[in-house]
Amino acid sequence: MSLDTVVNNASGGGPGPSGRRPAGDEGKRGPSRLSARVLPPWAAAAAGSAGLGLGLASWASGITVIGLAPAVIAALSFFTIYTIWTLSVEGRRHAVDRLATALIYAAAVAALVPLVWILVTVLLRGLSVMSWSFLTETMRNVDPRKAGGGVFHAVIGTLEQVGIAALISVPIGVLTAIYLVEYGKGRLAKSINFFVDVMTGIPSIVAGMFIFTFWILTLGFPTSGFAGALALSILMIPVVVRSSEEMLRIVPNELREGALALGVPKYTVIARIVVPTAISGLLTGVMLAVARVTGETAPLLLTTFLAQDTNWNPFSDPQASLPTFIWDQISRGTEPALNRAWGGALVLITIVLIFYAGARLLAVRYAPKSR
Amino acid sequence: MEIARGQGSSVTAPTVEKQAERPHEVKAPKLEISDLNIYYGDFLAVEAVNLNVEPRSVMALIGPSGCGKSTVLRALDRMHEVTDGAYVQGSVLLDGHDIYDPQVDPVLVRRTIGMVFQRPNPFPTMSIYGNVVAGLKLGKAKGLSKSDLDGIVEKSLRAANLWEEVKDRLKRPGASLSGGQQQRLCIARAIAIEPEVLLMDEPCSALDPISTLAVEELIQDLRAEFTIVIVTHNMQQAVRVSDHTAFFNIADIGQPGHLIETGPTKEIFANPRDPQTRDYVMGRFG
Repeated sequence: MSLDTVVNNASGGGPGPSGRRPAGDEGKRGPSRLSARVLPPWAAAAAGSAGLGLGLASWASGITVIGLAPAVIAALSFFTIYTIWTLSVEGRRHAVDRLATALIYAAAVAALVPLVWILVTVLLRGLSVMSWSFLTETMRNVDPRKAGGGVFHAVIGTLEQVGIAALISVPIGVLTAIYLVEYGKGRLAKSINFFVDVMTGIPSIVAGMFIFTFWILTLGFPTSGFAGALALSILMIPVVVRSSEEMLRIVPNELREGALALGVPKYTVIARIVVPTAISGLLTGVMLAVARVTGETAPLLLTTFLAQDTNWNPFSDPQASLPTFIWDQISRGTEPALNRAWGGALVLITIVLIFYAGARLLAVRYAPKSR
Repeated sequence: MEIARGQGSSVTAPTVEKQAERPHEVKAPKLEISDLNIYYGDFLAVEAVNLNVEPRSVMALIGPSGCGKSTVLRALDRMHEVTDGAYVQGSVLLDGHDIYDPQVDPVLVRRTIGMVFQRPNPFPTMSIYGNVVAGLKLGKAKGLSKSDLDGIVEKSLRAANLWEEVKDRLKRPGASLSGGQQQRLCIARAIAIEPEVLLMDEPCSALDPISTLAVEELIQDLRAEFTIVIVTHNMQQAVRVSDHTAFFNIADIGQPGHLIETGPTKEIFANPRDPQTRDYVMGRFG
C-alpha cells in the first residue's frame, strides 16, 4: 500500500469506489453534497519528489555542509509543500491528517535507518575477512599486526558461556515468573518484584565487578568462562523473569479455572495447561534474553579475560568470546586487526540471528493452534 | 457409568449406603446449602442463603445482574475461593457431608461437582480428544488405558450431543470448533470425569439460538444421571429446563445479594409469593 493510498483512506475524503472525481472530472451527474475536493493520488509522490529535489539541490550547491542536513532539508520541504498543498485544496482537517500520517511514516523510516546502516556496514566490512579459515582458526601465534587467524576460539567461548548462563537463568527466571503470576501475593512477591526491577537496572559492568570481587577474589575461584556465565546470568535472570511473567499473565484465567473445576491439582494446571499455552511466548522471551547477553562485553572482560587460543574447559583459565575478541582486536588498532573485529561482529550478529530464528521456529511449532 | 471412581468419591463415601437404606422415600437433598455467607475480602457478596437441591433434578438460579447467582454457584464446588481474598461462611452439604469441612480437599470436591463456564474455554494446546480426557489424565484417573479413554471420549461426546459432528476429527485442536460446539465440548469434558453434580454458569449466554437449543436438550438428557444447578439470565430458559427455581435479588448496588424465593419452577413463574419475584419474572425490572 503506498503512502498516498493510506493517506486517502485514512482521511476518508478520497474518491468513492466509483472513482468519480467531483472536482475536474465532469461526469453525467454533478458533484453531490457529500463530495469534496481531493488531491490527485500522486500528490504524496509529487511532494516527495519536490522535497527530495530541494534536498539534492542544497547538497549539490554546497550550501549544506553537515552530513545529514540535506536529508533534513528534503524532509522539511516535503512536509511544508505537502501540507500547504492539502490545506489549499482539501482544507484544514485533511491537511492535519496528511501531515500527521507523513510524520508517522517519517519517524518509522528514521528509526529503521540506523539499523539498516549498521547491518550493511557490518555485512560489507565483515565479509571482507570472512573465509572458512577465519571461522575455523584461532589467534594462536598470529601476529596482531598481520592478517590471518580467526574466531573459532571466540565462538566456542561465547557458545559455552551463553549456554551455561541460559542453563542457570532460564529455570530460575521462569520459575520466579511462575511464582509471581500463579502464587505470589503479599510481601514476598512485592519484594521479589522490587529486586527484579533493581536487577534489570544493574549496569553490566557492575555485574562483572560483582562476580570478579565475589567469585574470583573472595571465594578464590579461577578466571573462567563459568565466571563469565555467572555474570551474564545476573543480567539475564531479570529479563527472563519479566518476559516470562508477561507471557504467563496473558494466559486467560478461564483456562486455569476450567482446569481447576475439573479437579486438576494446581501444580498440574500450571505444568500442563498454563505453561504449554504460553510456551511459544516463553521461548521467544528466553531467546531474546539470550540474544541480549550474547553481545555483553564488559562483564566478560572482568571475568573471562582474554584468550588467543581455544579453551574448551569453561571451568578454568581464561576463555575467549566474540565480544571480548572484538574488543581485543579493536584495541590493537592495526588495519588487519580492525578487519578481524568486523568479521567477529558479523559472526556475532549471525549467531544472534540464528538464535532468534530458532526461537521463532519453535514458537510457531508449539503455538496453540486453532485450525 | 462404569469409569473407575477412584479417589474422586472419597468425599461422599457414605452416599451409597445412605441411598440404599431408603431407596423410595422422599428424596434426600443432594446439596444442602445452610446459612451461606459469601465474601470477596471485606465485601459480603451474598448473605444467608438456605437452599436445597434435589438429586437428579435441575435447579435454576435467576435474578438481576450482580445479585450473586454466579457467586453462589462457584461456592458450590469451592471455585469461589480461587479468587484472591474470597471465602465463605456457613455450610454446603453434599449428601450430608460439608464440602467446607477443613479436612475436605477442594480438588476432590471439584472431581465430584463439575462445572461448565459462561464462555467456552477449551484448552487451546489440546485436541478435541485431549480436551475430553483432560480431567481424567491430569487428575481424577491417571493411567487409564487407551481403550478405556477411547470409550470415555465417545460416551462423553455422545452425551454432549457432539459425537457425530467431531468423530472424524478428534485429533484436531479444540479451538477449531465453533462457539456452540466448543461449549458442548466443555460439557463433554465436565461429564467425562463423572461428577455427581454439574454446575452451569450461564452456559448459553455466548451461544446462538441453535446451539442454545442443543445445550438445553442436553440438559434434559443429563438430568437423568446428574444433579444440575444452572445460572441463567434467560427466564424462558429457566422455564424450559428447570424443575426448581431460586430467585436472587439485591436491594442496591454494594448491598449483599439475598435468596428471595425458591420453589418449583412452575410456581415461581405462575404464582410467585414474593412481590419482588413477581416483578422480576413478569419483566417489570432487572
